Amino acid sequence: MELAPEDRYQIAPGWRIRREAFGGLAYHHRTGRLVVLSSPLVWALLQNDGTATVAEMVEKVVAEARGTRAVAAETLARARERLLVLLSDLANKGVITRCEDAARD
Amino acid sequence: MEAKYLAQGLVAPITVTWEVTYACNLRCAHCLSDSGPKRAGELDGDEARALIDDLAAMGVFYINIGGGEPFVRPDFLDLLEYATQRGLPCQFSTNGMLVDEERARRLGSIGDVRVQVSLDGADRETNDLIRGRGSYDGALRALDLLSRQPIDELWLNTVVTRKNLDQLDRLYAIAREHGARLRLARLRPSGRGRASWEALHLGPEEHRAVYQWLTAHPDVTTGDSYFILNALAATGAMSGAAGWLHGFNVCGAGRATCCITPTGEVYPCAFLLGTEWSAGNIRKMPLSQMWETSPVFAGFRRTQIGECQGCPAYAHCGGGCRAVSYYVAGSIAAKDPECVLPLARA
Repeated sequence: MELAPEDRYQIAPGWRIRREAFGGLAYHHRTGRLVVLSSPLVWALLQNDGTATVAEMVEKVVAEARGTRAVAAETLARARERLLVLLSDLANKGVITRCEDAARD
Repeated sequence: MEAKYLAQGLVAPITVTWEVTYACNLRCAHCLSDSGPKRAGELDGDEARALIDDLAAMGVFYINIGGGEPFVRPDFLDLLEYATQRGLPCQFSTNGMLVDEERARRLGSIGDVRVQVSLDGADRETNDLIRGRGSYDGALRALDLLSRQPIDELWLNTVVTRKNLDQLDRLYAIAREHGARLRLARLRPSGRGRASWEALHLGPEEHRAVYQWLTAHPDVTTGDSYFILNALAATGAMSGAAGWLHGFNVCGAGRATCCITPTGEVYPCAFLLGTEWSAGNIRKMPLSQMWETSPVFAGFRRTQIGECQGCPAYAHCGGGCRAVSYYVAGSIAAKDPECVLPLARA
């Protein structure tokens, strides 16, 4: 599932997530699927109850990771791209769903 | 799941095996918990509910319930309901002998439960030789009753031995006929399995056959018990090796799971229940505290298999099952005696 920057998303029904030192774990009991959330940034991206868009969450996570440090624009751009890839990966694994899809399910 | 994530230590087990009673109406030849009569000092209802509360607070993803036979415990379905109402999904193993219409109906009304019915043979003779007279009929009757209820998932669970290895296709068909999935579990030399090990465990060629069968049936699950077979995919050491088996590729004992016995003792896994591996008792310390502080768990998380260092398969099989290593080779840090690689290289 491709997520556009303006899409709102949330954790898909049936998934439970848990924070770990390396990022987190997501588990779906009905299918027994376990997904590793490979970094704390991925965990941060999942702190969305469906009210924020992809673009908003990516900006929020990048800003929190940067803090008050001065970071080159190119680095920030690569970070945003990386986060979009991570979000798409979670969507493809079914861990997150577009909010309109969740409403339909 | 890659071993590197487990090496860092998880905040809680992914799953906890909880044996709710030692009491069982069967005497299976390979029973890992050596079940039979109920033993003194089993956790009462209040203690069981306190345990469930602790597991829920820890963030355990699901409870894997066994025994003994869970249905022998009068409050079993009450506890199952209590756990799921606290947001803890469950799965449990049953021999099915005590499943009746009422119990099946009640199970169907409890959400977030997977039911595993144990069957170790596709015919009465093969199964009952291992599990006891009447157990084949009891399991099939349970499958019939449960398949008519809206249970989340129904599994047929088979411990693979040399007695039933040639029956996997038929067992698969029995599962499918009842709308169930087949789950194949590796035999361990634990509990009564130690005495029956020599007669029942598979040899190298037989393990290769299991691997080929599993890769041809990707909808069959193994409960993370057959990760040694991933060595065949990792090394390409077997011609026609068809890929990875789903699930963990390393032993989860003390890292991703642990076992709580009916009397509250805690062990790294359900197959290592000797007193030398006790991490404590939940009557003295909650699991949430034990998980972080127990030197037994810390030891398991640090364990490396010296003999396997440098092997290209090690990252994919973790050196195999610690219980098999301990009971057959004498050390939890020994290479799994059933490593499939020497065969594949021959």
